[in-house]
Amino acid sequence: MGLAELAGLVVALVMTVGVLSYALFGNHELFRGVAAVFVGVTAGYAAAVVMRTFVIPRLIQPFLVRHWVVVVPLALGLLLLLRGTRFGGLATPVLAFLVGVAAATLLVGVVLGTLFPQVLATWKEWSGFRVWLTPTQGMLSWLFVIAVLVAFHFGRHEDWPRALQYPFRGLRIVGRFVVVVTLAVLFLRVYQSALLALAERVLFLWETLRFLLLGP
Amino acid sequence: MKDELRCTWCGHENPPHVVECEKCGAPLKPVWETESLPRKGDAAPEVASALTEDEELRRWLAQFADEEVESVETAEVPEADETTIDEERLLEWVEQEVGETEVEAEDRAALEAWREAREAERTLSEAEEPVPLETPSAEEPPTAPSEAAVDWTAPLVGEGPAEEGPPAAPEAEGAPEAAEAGLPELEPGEVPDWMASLVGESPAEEGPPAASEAEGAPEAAEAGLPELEPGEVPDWMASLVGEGPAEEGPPAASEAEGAPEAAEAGLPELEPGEVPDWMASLVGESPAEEGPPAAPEAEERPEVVTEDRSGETLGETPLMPGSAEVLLGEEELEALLEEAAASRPAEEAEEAQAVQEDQLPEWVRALRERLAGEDEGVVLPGEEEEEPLEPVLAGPLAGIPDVLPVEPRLTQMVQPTQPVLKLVLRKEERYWAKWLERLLQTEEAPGEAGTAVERPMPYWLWRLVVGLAFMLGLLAMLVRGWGRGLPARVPSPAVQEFFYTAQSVPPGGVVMVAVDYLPAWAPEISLAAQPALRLLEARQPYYLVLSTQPFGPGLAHALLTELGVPPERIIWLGYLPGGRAGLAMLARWPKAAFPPAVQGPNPWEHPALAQWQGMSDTAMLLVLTDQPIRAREWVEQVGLLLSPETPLVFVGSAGLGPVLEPYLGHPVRGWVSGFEDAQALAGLTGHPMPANLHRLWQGAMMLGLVLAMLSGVTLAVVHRIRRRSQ
Repeated sequence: MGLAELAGLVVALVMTVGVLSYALFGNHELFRGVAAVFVGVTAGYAAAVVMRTFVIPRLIQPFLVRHWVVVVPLALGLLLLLRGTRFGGLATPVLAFLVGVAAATLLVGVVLGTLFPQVLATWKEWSGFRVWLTPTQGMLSWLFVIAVLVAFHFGRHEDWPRALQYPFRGLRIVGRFVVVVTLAVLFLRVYQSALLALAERVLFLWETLRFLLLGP
Repeated sequence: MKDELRCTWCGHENPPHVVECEKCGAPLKPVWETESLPRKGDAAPEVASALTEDEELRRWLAQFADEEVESVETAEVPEADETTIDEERLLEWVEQEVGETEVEAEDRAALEAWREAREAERTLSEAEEPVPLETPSAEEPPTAPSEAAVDWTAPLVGEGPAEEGPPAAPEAEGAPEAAEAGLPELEPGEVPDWMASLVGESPAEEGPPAASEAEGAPEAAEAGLPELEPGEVPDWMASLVGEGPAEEGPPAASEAEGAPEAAEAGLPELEPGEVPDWMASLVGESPAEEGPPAAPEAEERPEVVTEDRSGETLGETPLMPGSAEVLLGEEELEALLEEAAASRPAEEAEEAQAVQEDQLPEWVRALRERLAGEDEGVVLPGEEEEEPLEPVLAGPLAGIPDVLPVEPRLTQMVQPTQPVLKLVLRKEERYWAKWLERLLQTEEAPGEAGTAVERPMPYWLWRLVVGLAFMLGLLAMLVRGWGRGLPARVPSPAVQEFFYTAQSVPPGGVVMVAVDYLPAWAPEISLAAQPALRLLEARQPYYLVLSTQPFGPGLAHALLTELGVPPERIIWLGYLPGGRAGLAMLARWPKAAFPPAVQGPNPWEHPALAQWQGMSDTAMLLVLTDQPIRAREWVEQVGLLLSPETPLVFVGSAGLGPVLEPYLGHPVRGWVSGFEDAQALAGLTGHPMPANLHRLWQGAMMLGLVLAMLSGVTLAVVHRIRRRSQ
């Protein structure tokens, strides 16, 4: 292991310890220093990447070689920089354009990419399109979907007939249970990922200390 | 002298009773102190004793004078001074009485004659000064009020002077002077004959003289009054002419007792047809009840019995001496007003309304025209039309709908339950307002709090369940032993799909790798991506690498370098900004999303991309992401536009699978979510994951369980301690 790698390993060890020490000692000097370094490095690295891969090759260089097409996006970008000044009103059309495009893209994507596919997927569960699904699973899928929809019904139902009130309450309980289980699974997955990252850092510390103390 | 007043201007010493300096005329005392004191040239100090009595009497009279002034003001008499008011009333009274006696314009001449006699009398009185106390003035009433209320018409009827003589009301305090000052001047021809004759024959009784000047007045009257021809005297009055002055002249108030006797003795017997109606009604009345109020006695306040026009005695009310005004009670006044209102003809009301409408402002008229009939027809479906309010037909609000009637509800002095503000609404707005009102009425009241049937699961039960789950997981790991690895997992359909998709990549094909995760999640992503990339490496593809995160290129470089991918098979496209819009542009125009740099290498000129025209020429699109939401964005913006020849697969964190489940098959062709799927995929490829990765995963899970249990126990203990301390 070279000296640079060793130095890097030590720096990584110190910074890891500094971040993990927040759990025991709270906000202290080492943690603030590590956080400042992290923020600075992250911002600097991101800016460097943007400048190197986007701004310079796609804006500056075309402008220098008189590719006047880039004047339009460059002017729009400069108008955005006026936001917050007394000429901020000039940036409003640019912001409106950006927001409009983003909203339209989001709306189309959600409708075509999420709503319809999920409805079709629910239908496929019942129709037995998937060979690995049994009819029982398909019925349960439909039951859970209906139960969740009932659970999110926030209207008055006390004046309904009793013949409808009890099934409604039962479906509402089932729906809430399904929602809770789903959110618990998602949270468990995220928690699992976080634990894995933590374990990886702990393993890194263990191996690094062992290398520094005991050698390879 | 001790009581002398020294002038502050000239230093002259003045008697104490003067208010102005005798030498220079400067005021010696404040104005409010000088009213009761004589001025320069007034009576000598010998008169001071008489002044004291006069002042007492004047104060006593001033009380009634104030009442008199207030009554005149409340009657909304046009602006005039007190004397003018009294004089006008005097004239009105005379005219009224004259009118009632059916005496025509010739009587006015007599009244004018009387007025002129008063003028002459006043002139004579002024000439007889400097004894002002003997001359009645506005400030100083007569010294003998008992003689002031003298009615010159009393002898005419042989009764009290109140029936036909000038009103005695102004006689009390300065009233004669007021009459002198304000009476309109009548033409000589307007003086009635009968009055003229009276003036000529009994000058001492004609004018309402001051009591103390009863002797001096006749001369003045004789000097100024014209002599009437006998033929001008009315018949009924002619009989009175020739009687002694004592019978005809207005007797002094102090002589009220003797007046009836004198009248009875001297009045001729008139024929019934000769007696006017107004006089006939007075015959037989006692002068004490009908005549002008007697002058007050020195000690006691007089009680004057007044009579209204109907002759009904209203009661004994203290009245200002000499005042003929009738004081009515509230009940009588209300009755009188009601009677007057009831007797008002309808034509007069209509005329008043027409005049009132002419005086209405333009906006009120426009409002009435616009709102008239607007409320008609605003009826909701299924609702009967309400009985409309009784329209207002009179007044400025006539014609405006929903105007509350005045009479029946005016007495309901209750606080309104609804805002009384009248909004200007159109018919359509009123319809919807009614609709909303009915909707609110049909809304049922909410149930009582605490009546919910559903009960949440007890908190202690939740804690017990979670704790048992953690304990079982930890026990399972301990039973199986540390480092022995997890049991072989059955690959999920998504993993199987991913496996088959990766197997279908042609050798040397182009695989687009999108790095879309943060450095913090690099360990997990790296663990999950290793078996997938090893599977792909068997096909020796070209990696077309891009990133939607600024840190992506570095992470991708570290990942591929760790796997030992040669750099010549890596084509760097760089950073793709724009979020969703950038993804949409990538799916449609990938070369436009990554335009070639003006200077430097052009990634699109790579030999592997010689035949590459677009996304359809991509063998696989592999997305490395840590966020399920980001994975869904890829599906929405890119996956739907991909051709079936371009499968979309994901490698990501553990939370990725449940979100991508609905998209399995199309457009998503499999995924590797987390360490477990990576282990399953590694089992499919025949290259199990290294043992250290097993230990890492097991250690992470055990660490997590322990931390969760410890934190749960700690929180429970702290919560219990805090609750006990409270």
